[in-house]
Amino acid sequence: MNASGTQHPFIELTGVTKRYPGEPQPAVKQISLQVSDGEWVGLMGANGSGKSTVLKLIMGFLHPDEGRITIQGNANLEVARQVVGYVPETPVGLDHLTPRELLHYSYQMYNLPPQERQQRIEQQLKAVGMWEHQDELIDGFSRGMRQRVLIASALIHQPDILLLDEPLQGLDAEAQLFLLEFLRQRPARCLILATHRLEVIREVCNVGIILHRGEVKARLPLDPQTLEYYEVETSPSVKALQSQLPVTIQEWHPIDAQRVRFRFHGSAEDLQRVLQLLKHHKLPLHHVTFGNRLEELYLKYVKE
Amino acid sequence: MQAWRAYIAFQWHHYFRTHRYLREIAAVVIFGIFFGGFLSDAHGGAGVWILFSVFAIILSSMTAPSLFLLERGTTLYFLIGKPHGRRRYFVSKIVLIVLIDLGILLAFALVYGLRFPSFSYFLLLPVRLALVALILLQVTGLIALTMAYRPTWTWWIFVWIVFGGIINKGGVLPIHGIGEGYKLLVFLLPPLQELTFLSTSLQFDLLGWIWLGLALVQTGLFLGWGLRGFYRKDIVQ
Repeated sequence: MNASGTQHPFIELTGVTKRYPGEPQPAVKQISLQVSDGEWVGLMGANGSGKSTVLKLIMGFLHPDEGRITIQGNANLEVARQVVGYVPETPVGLDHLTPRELLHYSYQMYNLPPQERQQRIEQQLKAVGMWEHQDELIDGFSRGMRQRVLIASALIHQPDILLLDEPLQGLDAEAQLFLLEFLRQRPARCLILATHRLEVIREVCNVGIILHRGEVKARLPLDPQTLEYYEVETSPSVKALQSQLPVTIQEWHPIDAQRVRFRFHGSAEDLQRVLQLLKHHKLPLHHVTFGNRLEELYLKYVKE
Repeated sequence: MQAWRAYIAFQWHHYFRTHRYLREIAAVVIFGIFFGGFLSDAHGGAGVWILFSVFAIILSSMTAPSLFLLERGTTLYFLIGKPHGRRRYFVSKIVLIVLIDLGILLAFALVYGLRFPSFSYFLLLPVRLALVALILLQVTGLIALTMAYRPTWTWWIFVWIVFGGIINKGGVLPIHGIGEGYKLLVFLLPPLQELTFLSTSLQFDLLGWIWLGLALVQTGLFLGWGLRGFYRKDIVQ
């Protein structure tokens, strides 16, 4: 909250540019973005699009060549990190510690009250399912287990903001499912998740930011109501029934003289009603597809 | 204080469990062989402090790089990514390097004191150790500069340390006229030889105080510049 009583954005980047020495193009170029309380932001982009650089700039590991970064209105990132938890891209290192030792140090480094330390460590290790492994060396852990420990460590101070850099990279299916489920429970008030995997962003985030060659191409609300759709392939005669369809048709795609495909946004119940109508009028059902427009939008903005 | 302690403890833990102490152990073993000669003397003397001071320079030159280059990747982000992470990381590293080296030197100094027991030896031990600690801090501060700015400067820094240790700066003084102004360059060298002399003789004459003051100022500047450089450094891993 500032002096005028208005809420600061949780994270704000204004005109941020960063060049790496020896690189002809800036890693990020004139980026401006805001992330507010309650926003779960997915930073989308190919490898080298600048996703990790943005997170490292927010953490203050890199200094911008131009522009300004604030966390909850504070431009001193060394101090502002008190409200941020960060999980780096590659969960290697810290091998000589046990999860308990790691969280113990992490807790102390945030200067938190010593009397709550044990309780907080137990709470975080249990939340990520690593309580049983608390006294084993990280060295012997799988990548997924390491990632869980790092997430517990990043959340030990109960931060408002959680930054995750490619959190599912190299994880097996079980570890991925665990992590997705954990993130769906929203362990912080605001999250920025950088990944090239759009399905992860679709699953977890409510805002998507498309980065391409260091530039922000789009900021999209990831509302399932507007992104998810069904496509039904049937006879062209269905057009005569359009007024009876329980949904609004977004697009018609004629395929050939015998087939047409139409797309609509709606729930599984809406789909059932559409299928019943087709059955009632004895129209053939060739194909039903469930899809999400995020991939289309991503490709559209990246190709622009 | 809790956070500072955690940084020092973490880095000690890391140093120990990743076996970074092996180079120091090698140095200690080699030094121990030479030191054995001093122990076999019939009488003790303050001259041993020349040996301790030179050993301090060598030890610091080994401990500082191995500790400064210890953390990478996730480990480095873990440390830097906390509130005031850069300052605590940098300062705690220097504190740890000085404490490790001072601990080793203290052990040798105690062995020597027990070999030639004397009340005055133990009475003056804190003063001599403080001067040796200043040598350690100055060398560590210099090496820290390379870590904060460019690791490729390391060779130049070592040349600077060696010249600081071997050149008798008092010998070029006094300065007669502007033509000998170049002699002022000796004040740019770390007064390691002079600190070694002070720790041995404990003769705090005017020149002694000047060298001590210069060492304190230089050390403050090195640490300040190092911290400033580390604040500005991009941590790219």
